[in-house]
Amino acid sequence: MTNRNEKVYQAVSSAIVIGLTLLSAIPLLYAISMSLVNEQEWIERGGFILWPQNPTFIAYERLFQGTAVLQALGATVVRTVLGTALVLLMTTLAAYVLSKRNLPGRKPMLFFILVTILIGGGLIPTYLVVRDLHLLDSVWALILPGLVDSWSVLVLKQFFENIPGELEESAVIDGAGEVTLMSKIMIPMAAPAMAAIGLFIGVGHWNSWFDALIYLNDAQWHPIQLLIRNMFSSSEIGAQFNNAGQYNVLSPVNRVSAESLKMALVIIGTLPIMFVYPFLQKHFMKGMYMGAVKG
Amino acid sequence: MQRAAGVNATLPIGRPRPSLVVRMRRYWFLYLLFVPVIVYYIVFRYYPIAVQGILAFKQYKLSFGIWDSPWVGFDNFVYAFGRPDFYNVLENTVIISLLRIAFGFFPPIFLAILLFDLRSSWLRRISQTILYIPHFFSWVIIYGIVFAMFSNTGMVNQLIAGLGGNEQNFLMAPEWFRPLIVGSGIWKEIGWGTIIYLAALTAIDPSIYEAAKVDGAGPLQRIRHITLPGIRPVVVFLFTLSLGSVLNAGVEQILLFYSPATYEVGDIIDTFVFRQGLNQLQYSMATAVGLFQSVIGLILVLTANRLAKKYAGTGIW
Repeated sequence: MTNRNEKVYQAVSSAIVIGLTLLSAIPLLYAISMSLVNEQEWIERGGFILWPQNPTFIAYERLFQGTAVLQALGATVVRTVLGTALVLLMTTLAAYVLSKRNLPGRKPMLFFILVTILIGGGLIPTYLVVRDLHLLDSVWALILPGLVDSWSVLVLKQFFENIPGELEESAVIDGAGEVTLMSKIMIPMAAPAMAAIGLFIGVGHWNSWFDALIYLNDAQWHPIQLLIRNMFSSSEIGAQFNNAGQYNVLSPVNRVSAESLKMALVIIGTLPIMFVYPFLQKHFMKGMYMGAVKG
Repeated sequence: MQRAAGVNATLPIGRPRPSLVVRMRRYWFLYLLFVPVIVYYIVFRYYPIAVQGILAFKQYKLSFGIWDSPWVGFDNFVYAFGRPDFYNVLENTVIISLLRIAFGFFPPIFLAILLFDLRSSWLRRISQTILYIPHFFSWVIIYGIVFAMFSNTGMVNQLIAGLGGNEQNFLMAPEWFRPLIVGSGIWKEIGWGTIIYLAALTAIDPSIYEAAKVDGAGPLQRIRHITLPGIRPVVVFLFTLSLGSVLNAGVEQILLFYSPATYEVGDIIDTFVFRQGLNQLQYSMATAVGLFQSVIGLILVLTANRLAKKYAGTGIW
């Protein structure tokens, strides 16, 4: 009796978990498949394509023929690399200083940072500050406003605090100054935590578009996510990428539907995330960010 | 800082504690490191807060700037609250937030329990790997995927047509807007939401489960008497916190999903501020609405924190 209950429970919960997993996976699979068909297959199969019969990279080829996607990818790489490096630097500085238990004024300094988790200036005042600093239309508008992440400061501070005090003491006895202590001992010890935080910050930078929408009129620094958003609302994306001159625009085999172009953009916008995802998963499974919930 | 003199007496070691100035001088390098952090917070976090508090009570004039524009008292608030669309916006904000909580809060708990109880570890690992992915996608990507599924040529309409039903204009129809917003939000976060509960579940002593099994407790009885009481504090904590942010209904997502056709059911405070402020250049009025949102939001979060302390035994601070 009891044994049967256990079996039924395992069967039912497995079924539900599998169902939910499929619900997660199918839209992704659909997006990938749609990005890999030409207009011919798209018309023939009525758009319901979970697995392409004649997979082709035509949508990607068309997208990379123009300069817009490449330029947006370049801008995104710059903002992500520069942004992540600077945020990591600043966050580490803040966390390291605040992890020194005997530092006079440590509490008010910590309070000074944590208050901003609760209250902020809101959209318009922040926009006006960025504008008055003449940062509009520059890549710095995408980097400077988010230069320190208060939550990450808390996580990293806790990590520094958990490094055994004896390590620090013995280094000081050996004559290490503050700079040596920090650069040769504490930061190498915290490197795994910094890598994890850097990954999350990097993903955040890669994914952002709202700041670019607000701060950049000029398309020069428009990141890939904003480009994708703009292309989704454009009705001319099909014409834009199919009538590029050397193609036989009449033959559906050589054409690609607007839907496929859009899905190819979606896939381009997620590729780096999928690439770092195994590393991300390794870190959050260890519960890195759990500790952050309670600072 | 004030304990410099007083604490000496209680220190077990007889050596007198150095004065504050001496101690601070010893740490000069660390203070130096902290200077850029302070500068950042003042310029990009505290200064905007001051601007918000000031500009909400001024009539912003481009030629005068923030500081020299004339004071107008509560005129911006009177104007904003007098607009008929403001109440619609307020209502949408609260309704969408509450819908998110009502439909989105419990599925991760349910899923976490199922994942935790699964005996097949490979199934658990594969499901977790897939279920967590959408959390790391931007809202633009989520919109793209929703578009692929629900546009007029999308998968769902193909299915409906195949079954002989009437195609639905999911992306433009007001009656589908909120289900689509809330549903895609759940789709994105259901997996990620399980993590905190899984952490709480692994903290439960496995021997309790073993003892219950020996005593003949079935799976549902174990959930009811061991699992649910075990995660109750986390559930109560997160639930109260979610109530604290009802005025933030998800601006990035809505900005992508809504259109003039769905303003009526989808325009929220943040999108209203965005349009009035940055499109219509009504900086003062938009700032006043932002200040209103900040103040109510702060009160809600503080209240939620007190409630969390009272009912879950733990607050955010």
